[in-house]
This record gives sequence, C-alpha cells and structure tokens, in this order.
Amino acid sequence: MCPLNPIDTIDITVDDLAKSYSNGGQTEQIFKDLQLEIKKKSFVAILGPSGCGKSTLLRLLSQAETPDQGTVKLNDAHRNNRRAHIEQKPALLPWRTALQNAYIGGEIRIDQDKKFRENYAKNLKEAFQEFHLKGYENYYPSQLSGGMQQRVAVIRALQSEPAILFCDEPFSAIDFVTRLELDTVFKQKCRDLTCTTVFVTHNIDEAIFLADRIIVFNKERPCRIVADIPNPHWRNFTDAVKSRLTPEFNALFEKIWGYLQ
Amino acid sequence: MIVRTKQLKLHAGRAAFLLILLGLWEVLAGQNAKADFSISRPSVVAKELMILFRDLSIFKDIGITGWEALAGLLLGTLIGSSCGLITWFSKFTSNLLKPFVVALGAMPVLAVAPLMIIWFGIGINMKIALACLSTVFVAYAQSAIGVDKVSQEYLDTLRGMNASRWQIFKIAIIPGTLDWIFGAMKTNTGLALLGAFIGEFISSNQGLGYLILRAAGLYNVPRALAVALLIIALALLFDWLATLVERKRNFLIERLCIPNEVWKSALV
Repeated sequence: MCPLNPIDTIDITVDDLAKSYSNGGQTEQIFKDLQLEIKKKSFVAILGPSGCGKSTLLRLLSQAETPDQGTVKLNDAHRNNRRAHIEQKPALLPWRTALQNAYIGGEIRIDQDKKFRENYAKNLKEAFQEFHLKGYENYYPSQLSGGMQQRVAVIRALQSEPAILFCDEPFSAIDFVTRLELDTVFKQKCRDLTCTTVFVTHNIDEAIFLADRIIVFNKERPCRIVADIPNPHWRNFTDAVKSRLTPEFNALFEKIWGYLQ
Repeated sequence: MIVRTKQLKLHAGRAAFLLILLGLWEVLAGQNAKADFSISRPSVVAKELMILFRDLSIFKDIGITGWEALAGLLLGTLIGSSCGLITWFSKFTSNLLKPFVVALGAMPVLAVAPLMIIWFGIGINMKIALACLSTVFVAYAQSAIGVDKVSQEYLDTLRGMNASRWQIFKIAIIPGTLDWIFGAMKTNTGLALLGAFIGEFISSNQGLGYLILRAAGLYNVPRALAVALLIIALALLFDWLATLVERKRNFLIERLCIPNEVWKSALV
C-alpha cells in the first residue's frame, strides 16, 4: 500500500489532530490524536451519530477552523487551491436566478478569460438538464422547492471543477424520493469529475451508495474512528434504488450498523 | 371577489373622508370673515390653483424645486450609501467613526444653511447641497445596517469557494444591501424636498418655496395653500418613482452586478 510518492497520491493528511471546545466553563475534548489520510480522487464518507463531531471534522479539514494541536494538510496547491462546499442549506442568493447562482463558481475565477466564462455558462445549461432542472434556469430561488434549490447548490459546487469537495449532509433536508434521484446523478457527476470528496452524513444507505471508503465515528469523547471500511462494490453501484436491493449492499449495511451500536 | 369588495369599500371610505373634511372646512370657514381670511376655503384654493396653471411659469418653478430635491436626493444617496457599503471592509474603522457620524447627523440642517450660502452661493447649488445634506446621513445609516444584515450564510458560501473580499463585496454585499438603500431613498424623498425648500426659504427668486414665501408675505393664503398642494404632489411623484425603481431591483442587479455573459446566455 505504501505509495512511492505520497505527495501525489494523498490529498488530505490529518496528523495528531486535537480539538476541544469550552462549553460553559467545561472543556469538551472532541478529537484527540486523530490520524487520517485521504487518497486523491477518492470519495470518503464520514459516518456517525448526530452530534459526534462530523461537521467539526469537516470544518477542520476545509480549514475553516484551526486545530488546537496537530496539522491538517491539503495537497491541492498545484491545482489552484480549488475547493467547493455543499452545505445542508443551499444558501442561494435570492436576487439571482438559478442559473446566475450556479454561475458564481465561474464568476470568481478571475484567473480565466472571457472565453472560459462563456463556456462555463454554456456548460451550466447542460448541468441543469442532467439534474432535471431544465426550464427552471431563470427562476428565482423563492420560486423553487427546497430540493430544487439544493440541486442548484450542487451544480454551483460541481461546475467549478473543484480539486476537493466538502459535503456536509447536503441532502439531509430533502425528501426521500428526490434524495434517491439526486444521489444517482450526484455520484455520476462526481465520478466524471474525479475530485477528492469528503462527504459527511448520518445516513448509512447514502454512505454505502456514494463512497468508496466509509469511516465510522462514535459518539464518545474524544470522538474516535471505530471503523474504516473500504467499499469494493463502489463501481457497481450506479443506481441508488437498484443497488439498495443487492446482497452486497445489505452486507455492508449490516456491518456498519454493527459498528454504530 | 371578497378582496375586491373590501378594496372598493376602502377607497370609497377614503373618498368620503376627504369630502367630509373639505365640506366641513368650506362651511366652517365661510361662517366668519376672519377665519375665511386666515385659513381660506377649498373652493378658493382650487380657483387659485387654476390661476397658477394659467401661467406656464409655474412649471418652471415646479421643475426647479423638483430638480433641486432630486439632484440632492441622488447625490445624498450615492455618497451616503457608498460610505455605508464600504463600512463592510473594516468594522474597526466604521466603529471608530460612528460617534462622529452620529454627531454630524444630529445637527439640524437649518443650522448650517447660512453656511451653505457662503460655500455654494445663493443659486441652485446651495439648495442641492442642502437637500443632499438632509438625506446623506439616513442613506449612510440605513446602508450600514443593511451591510450588517447580509446573511452570514452567503458570505460563508462565497468564502468556501475562495472568493476574494472584493468579489464577496460585489456578489453579496452590494446587491444584499440594495433593499435597504431603496428603503432609505423612499424615506429620503420627503427629506430632500424639505432640504431644497429650506434653501429656497433662505434665499431664492424662483421655485415653489419662493412662491409660498412671497404669497405668505402678501397675506395671500389661498395661493400659499395651492403651492403647498403642489409640493405634496411632487412628494407623491418622487415616492412613486422610488417604488418604480425598487420594483426593477432584480433587473438592476442583473445588469450592474452580474457579468453579462450569464444573463445573455439565459436569454438564448
């Protein structure tokens, strides 16, 4: 397993990470001596019960927060430092249409010329079709349902062709049926893009379907990794509904369920 | 259907209220010569209004006062909102300057009006300056509040995409504060007219303020009231214009704050 040149194959390195919060005089140690390596172009699901510190870990990884101890290293320097986030809330700008919102990723790339931005706008329209949003390009967020808004947020993040994509339970507020559809399209799109993805979720199904590696956390303090499970069937799961019916899926589900107990 | 009848009732009620008020005024003022002289009567005011419009120079007076107020309003909004918007770049500087701005804003415009004559002369510029001074602080304060109220969510999203400070300012802060700026502009229409008016009261030889001043000087109450009505009409016109601009808000943002290749591609 040891790579010849770790710089090129590891995208995120977490070394001896410690983080605590003071909560009314009490300090709560959330992470201690945490070690983690995430390979380039992999899709890692961070799974754990609510309140275990998944989102905190994601914020540490995306360097929105600084650890008390240890380091988080992101190896995306050679790719223009491009990162994207998909949060629980779509956070679309209400004064922009769906298309204009999705375009923001291209708009902030001032290193690119006008030609790039024109292409970007053109590709957006295709993305809208893929996410079943054709015809809604010129709607304002207030005219779209929650699921549609989140799809726009997904397009906004993916279309910027990030090197690393951070997702914090992006589909948790979406109804089950829409979520299944969205999972399928999202996975397809992520595979085409080949970006490194860290996907926080509390939904076991979603983790098994989307990720090629599932890291399970527990709710203890400090929070520990209880299992690090590779998903060998990742390539075969292409449809969120059909894969749920396969025995491989169920076996993985049972295994993870055991760890969460 | 029910909504429409309710609307109709409301409008009918308002018309009735106005008619009763005017009728009472007409009848009561007619009872006594002294009252008739000091508050006049609606019919006399209406007649005076017609006389005013018989002479085309009234349009020039309306135009001058309107221009003074409008130019002052636009200038005040532009300066005030720009200063309010840039407070976003440095919370520290804006807090540092806050008491000074509050102190300046608390100063009555009338107090500095004589100074304006020294700085800007007695022409139209002095009135524009006064209208601008009357509006600039409200515009500043409102846009500074608006900047603070732009949702943190939007800023976090943009930061997560590695947007620069200037880009965040352009994409989220300016458009997000626009509602507050328009709101301030609507409040300011009245203040701008008042500013222009104060200027005309101090020194003028044209404009609606001048007409009122002269009419009152000649004890011509009906004329003063007729011109006051014109000023009300001007204020309503401004308010209507502000509403019109406000309604075009998304269009304005699209054309001013969003690169044209996006909205052009959406048109195809």
